[in-house]
Amino acid sequence: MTAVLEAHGYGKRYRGRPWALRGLDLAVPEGSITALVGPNGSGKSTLIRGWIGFEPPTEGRLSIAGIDPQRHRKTAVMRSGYVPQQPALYRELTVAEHIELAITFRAGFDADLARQYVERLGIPLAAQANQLSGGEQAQVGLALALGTRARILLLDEPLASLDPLARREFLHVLVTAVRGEGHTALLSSHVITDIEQACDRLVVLGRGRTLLDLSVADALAHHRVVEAASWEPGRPGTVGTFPTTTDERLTLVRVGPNGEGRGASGGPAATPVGRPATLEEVVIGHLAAGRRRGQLEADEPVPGVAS
Amino acid sequence: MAESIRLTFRLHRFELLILGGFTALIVLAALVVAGRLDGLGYGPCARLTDTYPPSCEAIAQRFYAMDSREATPVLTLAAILPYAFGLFLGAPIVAREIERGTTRLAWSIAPSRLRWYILRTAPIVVVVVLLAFVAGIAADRLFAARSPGVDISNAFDGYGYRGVLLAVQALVITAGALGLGTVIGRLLPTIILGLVIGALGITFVGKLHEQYTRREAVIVASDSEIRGARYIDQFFKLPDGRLVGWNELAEIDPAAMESEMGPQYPMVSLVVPGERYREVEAREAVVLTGIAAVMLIGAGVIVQRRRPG
Repeated sequence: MTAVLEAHGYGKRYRGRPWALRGLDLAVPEGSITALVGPNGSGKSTLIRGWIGFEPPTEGRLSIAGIDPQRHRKTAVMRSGYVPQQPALYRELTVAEHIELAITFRAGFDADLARQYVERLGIPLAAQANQLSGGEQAQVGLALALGTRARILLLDEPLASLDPLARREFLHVLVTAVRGEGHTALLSSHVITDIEQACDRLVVLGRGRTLLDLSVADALAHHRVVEAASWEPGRPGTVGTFPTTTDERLTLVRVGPNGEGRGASGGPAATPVGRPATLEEVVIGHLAAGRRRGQLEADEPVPGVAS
Repeated sequence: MAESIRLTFRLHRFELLILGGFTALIVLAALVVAGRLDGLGYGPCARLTDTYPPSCEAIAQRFYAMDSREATPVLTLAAILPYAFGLFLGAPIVAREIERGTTRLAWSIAPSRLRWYILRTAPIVVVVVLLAFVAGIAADRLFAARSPGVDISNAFDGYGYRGVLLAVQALVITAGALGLGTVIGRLLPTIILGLVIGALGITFVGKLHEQYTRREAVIVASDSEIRGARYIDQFFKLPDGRLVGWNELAEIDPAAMESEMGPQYPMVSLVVPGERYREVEAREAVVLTGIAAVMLIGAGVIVQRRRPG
């Protein structure tokens, strides 16, 4: 497996604020569509912006296709296509003019390809950007990113403001393009159901670090949920406990490939525990565990400081 | 290149239309008012130094009335132009992009931010300088009309409010607002701060230049013909040849100050002769252009380093 996006002990701290990310080690394999999931403020955007050279690291380093994006920002930009969190189109320009603008900015920009994607989605090239819906603006942003013909696509929560149909269309275009061209995509999102369909890898960030980094298939195969009331909290394999919408509390448990849990002694249990976890439950369980760990760390007495 | 210039103008079409129209109006008004002032035929009267026939009195009255009623407002508007250009065309170039987040799109597509910066800035700067220069030429024409008998190309009348200096002021305020916007990344604070800093900066450079020019000024009798000269200061000439101001004279000869007729010492003026206008104008233009260039380069460096917002 060749990693095209890497983080080595990466940390980012904005002036006067706590660490957004710290000690992050991550490798995104070439040819994958990786979902980057985490609560607001978990550092997803910071990490993506770091890879495109927008954010210098406070500590550690990032690499994109083997190069440091801070030292070689031009190359980093040449090798990546980026779709920002909020649609960032020029409201004074039409869709066609955005494509023309991209040609002036970047040698080798594939205007025909960008136009094809836009037209395929039924977005009029003559439409003014400020007349487009949020979904259409995101699609134009994606078409521009694809028009760069970059091998690596960095998508920073582009689905956030889209309705379900627009999300589906966006992901269809993304997956078709990425799979067809053998690109690599990193998609940060809150919408787990979409991730499950589009992505083959899942990275969960929380409290400034990686909480989970697995293929989507492994994440589903190796997690089950049980009723929290029937599960001893400290039992081996326990990930985290979280509430459902019906006053029920579930515990996410890490299990073996056949769903078998671990016994109280840590050895394999005889029978599978609970039921298979959904991807959303996997993510929520790990986020809950991350929050709990963060609280424990915060509660730890600081040496030399009286509590 | 042509396409990128067109798109840059598209991005600023509202401001360009408004300011272009404003400039056209000022130019037109300046030319019309200049023509009307010329039409009064006050020139021959203005050149008279000894006798002043009654016919000239009436023309002079009409001339000066028209000057204050029509020429002064037009020239005031022309003097505002550099600030309007700087704040409404210079400030938005980068600040608005950062504020609206379009830099995230542009800088993720453009491998060279410097190229992006030049493509976005150069067309606007060129238009600002051209428009302000045209307005400066029109102001030149109007100043010529309101100073009949004076060769305006060799006179300090309206210094800093006409000709190439108007264009250079527009350039320097545009560059300053652009640089400020690059640092602040928000439009409204950039416009407000740009207005304050631009006005202070131009005043400061003007004062500094005046101090410099003072060293090159010559002394002439105050009652001599000094039309077109740049007045710097006025002194009393003491019998021993010393030149003193009012305060100094009050200390040296308090009795002279208390005289009903005022001090009886001959007065002299410190002036820069009008023939040196082009030279002084060129020097200030070069200094201001240098400052603008530094600010434009500085903004380019910041663009290279800053976050896209």
